Amino acid sequence: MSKTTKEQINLSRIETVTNALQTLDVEVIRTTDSGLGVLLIDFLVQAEATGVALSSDQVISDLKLPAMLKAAGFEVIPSLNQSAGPIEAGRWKTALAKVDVGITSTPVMAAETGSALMLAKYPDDRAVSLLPPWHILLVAEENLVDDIASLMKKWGESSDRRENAVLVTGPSRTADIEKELVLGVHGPGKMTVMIYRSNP
Amino acid sequence: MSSHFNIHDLKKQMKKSVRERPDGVLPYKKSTKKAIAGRDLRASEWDDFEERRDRATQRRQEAIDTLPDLHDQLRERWEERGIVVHEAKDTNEAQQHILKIIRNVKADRILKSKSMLSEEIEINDFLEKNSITPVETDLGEYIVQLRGEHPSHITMPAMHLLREDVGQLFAEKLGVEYTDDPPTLTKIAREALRKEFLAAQVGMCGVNFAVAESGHLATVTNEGNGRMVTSQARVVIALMGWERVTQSLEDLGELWQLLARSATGQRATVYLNLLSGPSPGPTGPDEVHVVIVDNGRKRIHQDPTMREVLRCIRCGACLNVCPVYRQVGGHPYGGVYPGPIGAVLTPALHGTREAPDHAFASSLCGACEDICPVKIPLPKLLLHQRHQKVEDKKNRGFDAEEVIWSTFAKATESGAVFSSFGRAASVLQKVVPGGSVPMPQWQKGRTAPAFPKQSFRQWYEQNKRETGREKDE
Repeated sequence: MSKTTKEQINLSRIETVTNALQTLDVEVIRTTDSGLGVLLIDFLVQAEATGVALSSDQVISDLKLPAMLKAAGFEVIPSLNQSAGPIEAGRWKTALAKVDVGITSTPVMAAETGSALMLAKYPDDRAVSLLPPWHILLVAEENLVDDIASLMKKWGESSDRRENAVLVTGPSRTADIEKELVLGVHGPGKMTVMIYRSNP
Repeated sequence: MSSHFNIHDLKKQMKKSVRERPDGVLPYKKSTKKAIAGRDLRASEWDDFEERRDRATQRRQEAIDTLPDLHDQLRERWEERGIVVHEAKDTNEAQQHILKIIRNVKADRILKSKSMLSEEIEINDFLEKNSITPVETDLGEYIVQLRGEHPSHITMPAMHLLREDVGQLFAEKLGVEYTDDPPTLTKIAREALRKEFLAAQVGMCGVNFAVAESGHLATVTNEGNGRMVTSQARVVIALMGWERVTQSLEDLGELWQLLARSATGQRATVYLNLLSGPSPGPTGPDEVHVVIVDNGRKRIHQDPTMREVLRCIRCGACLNVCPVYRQVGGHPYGGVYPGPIGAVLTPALHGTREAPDHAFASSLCGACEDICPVKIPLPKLLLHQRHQKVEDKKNRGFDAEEVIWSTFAKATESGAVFSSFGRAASVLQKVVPGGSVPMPQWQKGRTAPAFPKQSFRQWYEQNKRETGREKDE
């Protein structure tokens, strides 16, 4: 595939996913990997967020987000030591529930629906994207695929697909009272997706 | 069934339901209309929607036809990942398995995400009797549990309530200030349940699909409570109907989207939780149990006609589109599953003798079959059950209703006998106290009109002679 065709496909996926996410009340931001950290800090300051929880996944550490956010004065909840006992885990969860935002990344997102795969390879992720009231999700452009069928396929390329996982499509919501839509029942009521381009 | 379910009195309960909401402001009408509009929008979005329905129907049927093999595959996966399997042939066995798991970890409280099967095995009542508190965490289920009721819809449990009802309930039971603002009410529930989640020891969830290829227990939710109970509790109990198996993650992806589109008009639900087993880390869960419930499903599986009902993916679209459900709502059906799918499933699960009227709670208009994402021929299955009931009755004795209808049918075949009915009525009226044929239910709030002295036939004969109209023609 030529570089231009590839770029066109990416652009059309970005457009599709942006539309899909916006109908779900998700804010979508485009950036590059080198600009992402600065943009994120700016963004958190504007939203008056002070406490942040970060996933321990590879993307977040490659982007050096924990150090950057700490340096910028945010209270960053350290990831949970995997040898911690249940009491410590309980305290950690309580702390997570009190921060303003949880930040994670996704290995693959389906453009048609705006669904992101979250693997429990890093067990923290499940709580980081669930307990805080705001979830910021980082997606690399090259990890956008067309639809759910392609998402399932891409998941299979890097694993045997036997791990605990969850597909996340927008913020937590309910319509249990007279079918009126309300965001943020048990999971985050606010979600931001940052689509970034990796510069070579 | 020895239970609070009343599936034997469907007719009486349906009439009662219509009487109790005489103003016609049924919350059902509003909500079902919204749900159908959403579904239609999402169906029109896919050019190949019909092809996808056909494919899903076929894959579901293949899964049902090969269930024993798929269960073997699942067993292997679950063993590899350390999921403990419990099989229950009926409600009692399921209850006992669950009680044992909870007692093993000495818990006195469990957090539940939505599961219709948990209603079917009446686990809440059972646990309470055994001093264990079940806490429903789906907002609709939480509301319904606080009211001491049962869900009135498969995917929207509190559909029978208006916002004012919920406001009064929360003020009364949670001691908060009255509000009928859905966002504020939702926030109140969030705060009350958040404390529960953080301290959760045992969680219970339903299973929309078990994936044979990967071993995942897939749960579809929007609120996030399904994720909470499966990732924040130390012990997870997944309750699964025996037929809820799909072949692969690809099939799951397709069914999930059809389910979301048909149920709530979403392209996808917010969460598709894929639980594959215990987690070794400090957050758990340390134990994952799956309880597979038969409760009549294997019997249905043996009937080649009824077997098709096992394809059901519980989207509830057939309820939303059903003219009967929209009038009477979910509770008159008396069991767990209301609407057209309930009309078929309730007698199929419990026998036509236990639920004699369900197959008749339909005008056979066919809207349910037209909307079903996996094309279950619900009208055909209702007729099949009516036939079964008739066959069943041949072997039994006297039935007052049948006598009345068969007499009426014979009378209408003969003009002389039929007209004698009208004359008999006007004569009867003179001799019966109160001046009318006694119909106590109907006469509540009504005055029975007097029967005319003359029948229409008599009047016509007379008038025809007087005007000579017949001659003009």
